[in-house]
Amino acid sequence: MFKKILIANRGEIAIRIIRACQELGISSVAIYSEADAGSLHTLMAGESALIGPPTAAESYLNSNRILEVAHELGCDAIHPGYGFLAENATFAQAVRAAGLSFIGPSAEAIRIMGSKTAARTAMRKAGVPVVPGYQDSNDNEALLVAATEIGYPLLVKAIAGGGGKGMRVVEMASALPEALESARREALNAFGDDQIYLEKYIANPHHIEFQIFGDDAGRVVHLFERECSIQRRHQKIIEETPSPLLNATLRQQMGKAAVAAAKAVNYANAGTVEFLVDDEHNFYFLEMNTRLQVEHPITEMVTGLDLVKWQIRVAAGEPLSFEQEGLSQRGHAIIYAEDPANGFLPDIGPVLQAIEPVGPGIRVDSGITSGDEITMHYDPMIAKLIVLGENRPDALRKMKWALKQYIILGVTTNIPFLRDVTTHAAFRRGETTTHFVEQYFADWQSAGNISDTALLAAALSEMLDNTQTNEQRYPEAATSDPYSPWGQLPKFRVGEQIGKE
Amino acid sequence: MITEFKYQVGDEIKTVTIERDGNQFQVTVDGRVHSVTINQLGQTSLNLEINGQQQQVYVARNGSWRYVALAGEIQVFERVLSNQARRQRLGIGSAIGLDSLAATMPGVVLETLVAEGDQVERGQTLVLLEAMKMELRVTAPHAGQVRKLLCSAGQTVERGQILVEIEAE
Repeated sequence: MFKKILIANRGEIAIRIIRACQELGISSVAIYSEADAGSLHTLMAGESALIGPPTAAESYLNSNRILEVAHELGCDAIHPGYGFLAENATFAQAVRAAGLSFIGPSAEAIRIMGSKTAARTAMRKAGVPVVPGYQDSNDNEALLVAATEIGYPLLVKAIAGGGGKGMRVVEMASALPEALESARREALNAFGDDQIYLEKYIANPHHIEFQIFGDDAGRVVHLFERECSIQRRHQKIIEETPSPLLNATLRQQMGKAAVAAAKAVNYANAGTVEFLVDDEHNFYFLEMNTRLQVEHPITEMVTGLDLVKWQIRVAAGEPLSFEQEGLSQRGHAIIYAEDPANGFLPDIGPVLQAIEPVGPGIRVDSGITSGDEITMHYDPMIAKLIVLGENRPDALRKMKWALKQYIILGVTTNIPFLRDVTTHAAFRRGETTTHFVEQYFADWQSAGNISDTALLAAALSEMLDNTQTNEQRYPEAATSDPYSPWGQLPKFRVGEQIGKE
Repeated sequence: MITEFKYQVGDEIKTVTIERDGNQFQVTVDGRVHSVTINQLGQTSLNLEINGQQQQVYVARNGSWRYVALAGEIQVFERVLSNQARRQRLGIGSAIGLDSLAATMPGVVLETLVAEGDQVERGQTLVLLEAMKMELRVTAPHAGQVRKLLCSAGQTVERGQILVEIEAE
């Protein structure tokens, strides 16, 4: 087993990994940028090292500096978390070339799955269904011809893409040239690669992903699905498992396809295979994420497995101790990602107060604490709220309760939006498609009412605080000098009339 | 003793007066009277009994801003310190027909797509911003002429910083 792991990340996921290291008795090293000095993850780790200025490129993406730190501090493995260097094949290779373990899959698997077109080719070969599309050329003429064949509406997607970047829905041929151009520009900005491809647009799809896990011996199992249809601008905001859409047969078929997808690239460690499912229950491979995902805790809740600890064990060469037949889902879990949101744009500023809910079946994975500053430099996801209920209605009730107890003051968060989504009748019926948010919540606005109670509480707290400050301003023992005449005076308050009845 | 506080809620100023009698408080909000007892007072938390109903409330302050959490709802408003401060704040306005477009959040200017003197259509993208890994567009709220372009590519801008001024025809 490893002696010391460097965590090449920040925020809640760095803390999640540090906890796993602590449980396994492994030392941990946190890295941080100047903007994150003193933040929670740096305080929790055994050691922490400054790696550069706030810009991600100069800090959390600076692989040379990270490797230097790993050597200086005697680490024998690096966990990349998610985002930043997690799906960077060159980094995975560099870590291993430097004689350290990379806690994740092989560079080769990352490379294939990182290219949407290479992944589609590999999946077709492995017999995993993919969405019909065109990826043979980037020439506008050829793309226009192919588009007519696929039919409209269709999707323009970035080959190196993810998170909806460089993606466009095109309704008709006349809109295609402009969509190609803007998708290319966005892709170039986001990924440094402007290649795009076309895909048939699946109307009203469900977005369902399967967690898979592989070990060095070539064994691969799936840990069931996560329903992640509730999205905004192609970013998942609520996920749950089991999916209200799947029955036992479909679950088994998709699980088998997910395992086949992973085996096709000799996948080891944790990964996620994403599928689109249409109204007729046809499913298509969408992409594979070659890392631990943000939403992994719901899988942990229903399977009882600790994915991060298993990532570490598998990377250290241990075999998986469970087989497909022995795995089952227990209960129903839901997760929320807490983004500070100003309208829908992320907010920044100091977190004046953060109070997390506690109770049976409630878990919070957070990267912040009261007094922390949310800066503009990084992803706005600051915390995740996860609940486990006996069944879906129970989990929904628990989520509603937990959200009510979750208090973040100082930055505006998306808590009210998420609460309104989960209490919506269509959501409660399980009618979750990727269009849910635009269908029901396109014009959503925070109620924004200011109640008498809120005003009254603010005024009371202000008044009592002032009173206390005045008392502190002239206390009897304001000095530590025991001979000070102030210590001899009887109790009195400056400004108060003596002899007042 | 009566203490008075003023808060800005939308366009309105709400006045809260508190009359204290030991641990009993008579609080008037906009003329509505509430009888309040404080059960518990923490650093930021208050457990109140308001007209016989128990409520757990959290209050935090940052400058003039007040943040209150109440039954899962966060309410945000601003303390008004004096009439003068209020006039100053409301006095900030723009000349008729001239619109100053500001950054809605701090970020980096990716690209400026217009020059001073350009005629622009309503909805036309003027400036591309990148903030928190997202591309944001600053678009023209109406047709007009670009009077001033106050930013350039690569520049870091603060929230509220004016980027472009457009004059309607």
